[in-house]
Amino acid sequence: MIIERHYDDESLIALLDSPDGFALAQRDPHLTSCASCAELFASYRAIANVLGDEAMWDFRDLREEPVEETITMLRAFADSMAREDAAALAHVAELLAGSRETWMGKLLAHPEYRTAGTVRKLIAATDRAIDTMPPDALEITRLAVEIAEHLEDSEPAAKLRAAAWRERAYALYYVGNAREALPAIQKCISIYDNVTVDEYDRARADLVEALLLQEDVDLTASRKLASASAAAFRAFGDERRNRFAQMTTAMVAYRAKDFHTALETWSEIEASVPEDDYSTKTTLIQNIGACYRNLGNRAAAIETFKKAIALFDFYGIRPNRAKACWNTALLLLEQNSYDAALALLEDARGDFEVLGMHGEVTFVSLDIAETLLRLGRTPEVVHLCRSVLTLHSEAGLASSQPTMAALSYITEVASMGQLTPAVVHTVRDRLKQASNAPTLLFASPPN
Amino acid sequence: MRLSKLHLQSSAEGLSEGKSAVIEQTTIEAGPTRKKQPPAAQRQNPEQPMMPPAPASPSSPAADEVESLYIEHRKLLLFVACRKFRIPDCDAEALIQEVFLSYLQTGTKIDNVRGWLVAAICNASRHYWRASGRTESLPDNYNDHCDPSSQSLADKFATQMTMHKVLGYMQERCRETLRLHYFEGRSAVDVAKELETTTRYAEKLIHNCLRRAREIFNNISSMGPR
Repeated sequence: MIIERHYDDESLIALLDSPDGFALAQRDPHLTSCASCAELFASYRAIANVLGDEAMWDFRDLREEPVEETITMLRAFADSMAREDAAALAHVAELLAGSRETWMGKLLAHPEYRTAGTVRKLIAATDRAIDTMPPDALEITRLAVEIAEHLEDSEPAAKLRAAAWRERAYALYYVGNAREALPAIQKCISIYDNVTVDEYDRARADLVEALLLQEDVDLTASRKLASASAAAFRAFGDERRNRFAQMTTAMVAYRAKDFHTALETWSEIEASVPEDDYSTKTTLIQNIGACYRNLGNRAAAIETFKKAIALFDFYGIRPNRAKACWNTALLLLEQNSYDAALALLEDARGDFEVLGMHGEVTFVSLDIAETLLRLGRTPEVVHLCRSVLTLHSEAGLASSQPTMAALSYITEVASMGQLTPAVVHTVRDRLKQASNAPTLLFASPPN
Repeated sequence: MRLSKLHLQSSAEGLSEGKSAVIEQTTIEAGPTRKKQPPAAQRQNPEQPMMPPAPASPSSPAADEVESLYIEHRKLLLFVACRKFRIPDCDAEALIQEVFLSYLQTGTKIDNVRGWLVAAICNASRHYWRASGRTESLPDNYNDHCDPSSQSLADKFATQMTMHKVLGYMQERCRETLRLHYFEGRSAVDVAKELETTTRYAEKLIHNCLRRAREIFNNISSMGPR
């Protein structure tokens, strides 16, 4: 019979105190196989480490009892916010009743809506709206900024103002208006520069800026910001936002065409996301599909996109559903399945149009135009371009000028019978450039 | 084909389901009290919530919640500010207040409240020293962030706080032995000289005191190392 011999405390402390104690412990056959001895050794090591911290040896007497004045002040602050928020619930319900075109008018007519509580509630309301009706979310952020900008100056008001600008920047980014989103987030950051702000709020702004910069192809700055915000979120114990920041670093890798890294990161995060966080999960599935596509694994990509479409459908997240349809269509185009691709592109276009995502309507329409040309249905292209032109002129978008020029050009070339898929492709690329760099004027392709 | 055409789903602030969905909660009847407008000064200055509530108005659940959070976490925050960042105790309470005010204004659901508060007090403490233009007396690692591979910052400080309490329970000689050996890094020979005893006895003292520290730690904390 073999009797197992364990280390006693004395031996473990002696091992800990020896110059290369930790290395020896890692090689020790008993310590590597005996859980109880390893645990005991680890506990002595942890205590010894803590004792090495200077904070342990500060024996100043501190007043450990809660301070009554602090409690009174915090309660008063919380009560005041609660009262403001309760009043704001009614204000926001009244304000957001009816179509979004009427909201700003109502705000201008009701000065009593202009409270910090209303700003907080409007910011909260954007979260739900962004998934279901992005232009509504965008308008809500306009209201929040309008109110926040006119609150009387104080540090809490400044922080709230910055938060409103941050939400505005994200909503603009979400609807494809990166051109206005960047100044909005810069406004938010400039406000934070002048108040005492904790790293958490700063990290939230940095994360939005990182998203915008990766769109703007400043990948180095974007990666730096995303990594810094991930570190801050980890420090604050916010796992969810840490995941968002990690997702953004993967987006940067994707933009840099490092699809393996992006796939690996997104897959890891997807495995760790709780099932009830469906919004994040479906987003990740969609992005994983995009990686498969770029890595040449079309079958896996189509399978993944189909899964994403079904999930977006199920949860009613229409903007993302439309994007997933679009991505699948691009894959089908690569396989020359023009009819199937066209159906999905039309589906996506319909959704974007209903959602008021005009930038996306333009680009998906150009893909439709290219597909129609490949199918020999040139006359439909002219009709399509005219419908998009009408959409933009009716919307009266300030950012539409390059789009109008591009679509007019295509219409003209098509009516001359000289339109080819290559021309549409070139126009699309130039337009994409123009939308990212507002100072770059739209120029017709040489042919 | 056109790789640039893929549309990645973004990952940011807009996805936070932690915020409440306000629109759906609002079916408040219009009534006389709601139509009554507050005085202009009050409307224009909604960010001045420091005034105590009117005596008759009932306390909100938010006030109860913040009070209980303050009572629950104050000791740990005080420990971090005063012992870790050497904030003078006369200023530490103001930083704690700042942290809780900031917490109340975050406007998003915080899953890990203790982690958030601890990170915020570290942040506030660093800001305190930066604002005073002094960093020379701070610990070397004062700029540390949480190392994701190890325990969280809050857990680390909670362990330190418990250990600090353990030292308070120990005899002066034992405490001094541990300080000399584990903080100052002095050898058993040096410790013996300092305590005017033999090396062999100093070694025994180091071992016994560490063992005793672990016993007390385990007695007063179920979260610490076993």
